[in-house]
Amino acid sequence: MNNILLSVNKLTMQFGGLKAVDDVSFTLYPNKILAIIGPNGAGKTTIFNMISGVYIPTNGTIKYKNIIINGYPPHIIAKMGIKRTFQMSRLFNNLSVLDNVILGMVPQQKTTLIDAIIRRKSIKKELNINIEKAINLLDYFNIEKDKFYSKASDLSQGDKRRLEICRALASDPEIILLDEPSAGMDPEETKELMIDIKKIISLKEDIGIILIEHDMSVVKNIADYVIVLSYGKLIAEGTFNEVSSSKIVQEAYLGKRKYS
Amino acid sequence: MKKYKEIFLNDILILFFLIIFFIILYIVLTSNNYILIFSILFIAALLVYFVLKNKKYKRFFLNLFKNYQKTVYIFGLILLIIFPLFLRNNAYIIHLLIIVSIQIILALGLNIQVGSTGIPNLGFVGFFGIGAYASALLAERLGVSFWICLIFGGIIASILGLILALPTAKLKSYYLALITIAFSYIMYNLFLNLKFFDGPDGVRGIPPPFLFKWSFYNNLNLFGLKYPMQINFYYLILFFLIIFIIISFLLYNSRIGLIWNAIREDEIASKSVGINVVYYKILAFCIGAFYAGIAGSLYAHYIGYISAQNFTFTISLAILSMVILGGLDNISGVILAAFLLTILPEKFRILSNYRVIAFSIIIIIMLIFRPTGLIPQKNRIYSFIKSIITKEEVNDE
Repeated sequence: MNNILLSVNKLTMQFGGLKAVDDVSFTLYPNKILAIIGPNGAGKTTIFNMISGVYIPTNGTIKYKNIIINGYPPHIIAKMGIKRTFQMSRLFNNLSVLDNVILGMVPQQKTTLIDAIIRRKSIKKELNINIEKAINLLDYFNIEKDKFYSKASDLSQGDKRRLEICRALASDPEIILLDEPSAGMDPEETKELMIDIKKIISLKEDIGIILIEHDMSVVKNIADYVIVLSYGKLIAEGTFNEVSSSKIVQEAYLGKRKYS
Repeated sequence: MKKYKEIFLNDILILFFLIIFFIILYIVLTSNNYILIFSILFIAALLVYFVLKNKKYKRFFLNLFKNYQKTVYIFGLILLIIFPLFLRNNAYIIHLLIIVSIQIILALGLNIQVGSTGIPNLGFVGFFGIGAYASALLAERLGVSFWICLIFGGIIASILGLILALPTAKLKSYYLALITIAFSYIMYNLFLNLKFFDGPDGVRGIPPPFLFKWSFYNNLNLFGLKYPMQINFYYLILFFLIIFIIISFLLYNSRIGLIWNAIREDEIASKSVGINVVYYKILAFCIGAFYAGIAGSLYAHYIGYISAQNFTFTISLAILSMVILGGLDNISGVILAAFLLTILPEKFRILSNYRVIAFSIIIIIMLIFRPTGLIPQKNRIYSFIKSIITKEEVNDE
């Protein structure tokens, strides 16, 4: 494949004396789901924070469609088409469900302060388009219509996750980073989540998904490619079957065998 | 035919309610009997409470005022214009109304910062002061026309907002609050000590506004009756008040208001969504400061004399309590609270020794029983989109 969406090269992040991420490289292709797994503290979320611009990497490059994006501020990266969700869902809790999705479209909105005061027509037109799109998106992810005007904090855990995905998808991103979407979900909800993640790919062509996940059933079912981190280092990569049969991975998860 | 009759009846009904409201306002404003005032306010509060408790009445009133918004605004405006004409012999009351209007503009400006964006600004009086001084000095020393001074005051305040916002936009909560307190003290001390600001004597003899060579200090003659000069300023400031209320509503209902709310809710999520948080915070600072600058300019030209004592830290606190009491980011709530918190201390002069205690008790009671303010912020409802229905409508069916 020649069209690489995102390529991470020798990425390193150092917090004082601690190397949270050490020399990690991987590539993401369109229409693929890349899963990052690893024990707690392996540096998975740190990688997300670097890609989305929250942290500036100490070393290495992040290349998005032939542009090196390390050091760009988060909102520019979001505008360029990389959107993320958070481990603890970070919705705008006191705003309505619909407003949350509309806010996801900020990178595409064009009206300015002057439009807001003098040219109301353009504001209304834009709002109309945004709301139509938000309704379609929420419908697509099966959020019921009578919840559109309720506060985001009133939703169930599963709906919150879905809403966060909707918000991230609202601006038609090229890459979406999902940070442990199944955290705090029961098996039923997890099944729905897997369907939802597959829905993302069928909704938008050529999107690339990077997924951090602890639930191996999710990874097994939906990931095309898996990389395993341990103490910041990349210890294995390949398809799920390759990775799960690797000895190093088993040791990282379960500890070394004392008696063989 | 029946439909027209209904519309006409409802119009009359709205006019009736508005007139009653203004009559109560008139009694409250002109009366000196504080027991009467207190009982009227108490009964009014009880009535509002019971109407809102009863679902049937509540729906009736809400529908009436929602479906006939235009009528409400037109009648309300007409009554606001006529109202001071009944206060011909009562210049002090008109003066009070002017001060209320200025306080409302200030509270609306602070509401953009504190209510919408969640920036804890305790130094808002600094912007008010710089607007007043900039405009007053320009008019007094260089003899520039009031209208230019007014804009100048607003712009200088905005620039000061920008200067304060640039280094502090990345700070949060307590740190930012501390810096804004320091800012208000710096401004106060500059006004008090700098020769440029005429030091502790203050600026005297600020010229009044002129409209086509007609001074606002002249008495107004209408229908052969003489009206006090305050009435000129009442209309002037009412004009600006309405403009600022409209701007506030426009901003609230645009994407900028929504983005400000998002920043208030969660800054990190806002960034990841693609919002340039620093830019919008600076914007909130500048627009809020612009409101304060215009209010300061109006105040300076109305009173004709300003000194550092007019711009102490306590004014910041008073305006902040208006925003909190009214309900963060609810424009009507803030207007109501600004009105109450300006009029009541004046009316209960007899208790003036206990004013601070009363203020504190009000705020404590509010924080316990209604931490979201008198009229809390509601979710935006896009009623022009017919395909989604609100929960209330679901209950109706």
